[in-house]
Amino acid sequence: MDLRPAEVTSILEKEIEGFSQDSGMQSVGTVLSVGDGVARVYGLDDCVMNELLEFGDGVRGVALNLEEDNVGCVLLGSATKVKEGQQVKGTGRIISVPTGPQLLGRVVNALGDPVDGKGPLGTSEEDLRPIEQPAPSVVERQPVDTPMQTGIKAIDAMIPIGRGQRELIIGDRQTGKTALLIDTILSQKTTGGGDPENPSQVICIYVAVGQKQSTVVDIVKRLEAEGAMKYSIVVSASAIDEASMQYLSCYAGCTMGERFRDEGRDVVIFYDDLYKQALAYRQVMLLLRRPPGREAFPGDVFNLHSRLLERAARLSDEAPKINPRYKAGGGSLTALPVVETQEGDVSAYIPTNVISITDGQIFLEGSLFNAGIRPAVNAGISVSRVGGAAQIPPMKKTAGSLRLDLAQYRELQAFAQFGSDLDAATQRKLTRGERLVEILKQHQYQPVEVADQVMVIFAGTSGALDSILASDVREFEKQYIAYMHDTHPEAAEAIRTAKKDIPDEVKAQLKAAADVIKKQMGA
Amino acid sequence: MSSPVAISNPVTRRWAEALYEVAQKANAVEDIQRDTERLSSEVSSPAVAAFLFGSSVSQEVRLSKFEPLLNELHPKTQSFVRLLFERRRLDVLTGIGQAFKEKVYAETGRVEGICEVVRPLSDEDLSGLEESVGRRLGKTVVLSQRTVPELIGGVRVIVGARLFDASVQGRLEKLRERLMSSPLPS
Repeated sequence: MDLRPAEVTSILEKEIEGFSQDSGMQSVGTVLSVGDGVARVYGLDDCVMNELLEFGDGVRGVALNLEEDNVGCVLLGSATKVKEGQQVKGTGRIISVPTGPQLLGRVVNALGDPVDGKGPLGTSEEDLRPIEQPAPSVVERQPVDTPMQTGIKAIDAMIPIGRGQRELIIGDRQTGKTALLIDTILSQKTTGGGDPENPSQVICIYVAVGQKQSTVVDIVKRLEAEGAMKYSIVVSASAIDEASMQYLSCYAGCTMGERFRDEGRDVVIFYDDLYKQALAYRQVMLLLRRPPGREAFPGDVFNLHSRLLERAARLSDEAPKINPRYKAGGGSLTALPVVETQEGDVSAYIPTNVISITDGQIFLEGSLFNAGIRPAVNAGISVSRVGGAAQIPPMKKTAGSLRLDLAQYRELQAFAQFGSDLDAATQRKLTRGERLVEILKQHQYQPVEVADQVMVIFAGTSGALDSILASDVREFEKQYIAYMHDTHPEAAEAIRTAKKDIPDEVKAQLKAAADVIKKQMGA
Repeated sequence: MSSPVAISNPVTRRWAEALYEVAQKANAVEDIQRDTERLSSEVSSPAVAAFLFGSSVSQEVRLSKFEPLLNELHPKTQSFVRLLFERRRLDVLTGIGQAFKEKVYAETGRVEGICEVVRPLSDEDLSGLEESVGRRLGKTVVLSQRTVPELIGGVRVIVGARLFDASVQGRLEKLRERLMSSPLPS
């Protein structure tokens, strides 16, 4: 950064002129004990729950336990800088983070401090918002009815997600959970051309909890390369950060998203992952000597996740009239939390908690992943409880039978392994199923636009693919989409705006296109 | 590191509260306050502490050594100390002076505080400061002085869990924070 001395002087002048002479009253306390990232403080008489405390030397803390003669707090920063007997100042404000459009394109920590080396955020005092906010009430919401396109065929067709929904992504390590999130972020470029100023652009917030710093860097680099960082915020509380920062980061990210939601924008937030957040919370609570419950998690670990996920909502258009907190109605905050399971055990404590909170879950399975079915979505046990209302009508119509066909295929597949004598109907179902599985496969970082998805799935469910080899399906898909774009550029728009099914003339075009491509491929 | 605020143990505080009630009924708050302060200062010497809190001497011997001192005290204080012996709560003696004083102050609307300065203030200035701080807190403030050269100039007053920072150091700190967080012109 290049600075001229004259500029520095002018800033100094401005600051000194505006400097108040007031020697305000501050609340202070003394550190009694410190260790393992928690401190006990004597004094701080009028300290409130979740108040931000200053320990000096840039170390801050949050008051979490208000007891008779001391305050238990977690340190947000290096505990080695805090000494016994040191003075602690109360800031008089609940822990808050900066919010607003200045954060777009930035990487910040759980306190909203930039960590990407691009200088201060440039937000003002008014942009600060407490990280714990009440969720919108019943009257301030409206049902989920707008699709949140992930760009992933298997999800948009069978497990559709609506704006304002909470959909859990669950699976073992190395099953493509984070890849799925990144694809979803990339796919949001189609909503507003990647321009954050465009009101229809969906804002993405990625909260990395307890991840490797190298992973966070990879994600940021990838988003930057694809031009997706412009409409995204990355909140990073990586494995090196204090447990307190890791558990607070989700709330911080949510608060940043809410600012956009309350201004009428659509936001999607990814918590990657909530299992690590629960572990961090457990650590902090045990150190604060709160009683442990099942698996040593504190008693309020369910509330930890439910109050976070409740903040995802689709706001009613009337919301600003009910509560002045909302600047505009109709905004939404979609939450896509991730939970990592151990050895596929979805009945463990945290996974069952989060499954019961969310409006559905997407199961990613290691065995599918290893069999080359990527994204490794297990369509049989994945559900979306509210997203059905949020699919575009042609997709709903076209993909309606997809789930059933796949289920039948999986059942027959098990049978087919035993004998070779199969009747024609069974053979047909097997052939169809094999091709459907093929069309749902997708490369990483290549989200598919919804109209293209409808075209491909139409080809699969209408039986156009039955006559080509399963191994040729992906090649067919590529050429077929390219052909449709070239010869019928208006078809995509017709699909997107269709009120019921795919218009008949588009159906005819799709059938013709499939025949042309099949001929070209020599089938 | 010496702490700017005196920390009294909750147990000691409860004993002090009970003793205060008794003292008030006997109309001897001042006498007993003097007694408790004397007791605490007697106990604070290492030799006495080792004798009293060590386990090498029996309870009776310890009490007997204490008798001459006890005879000079108010009868209620005497019963207080005997009760402490019986309940094996002798450690309360160390902090009782401070705790009792705090209780008396709290009851009479007075608070103790520390005034940190670079150069000692004149009595006149100090009482002026006591009055102005007292007005903001709605209490009578009793300040003691302490020299802290790091302040550079001005004063810093700590009363209980409140801090009034009018020192040059505090202002520079605040200015630094503001400068660090103000955006740079691009």
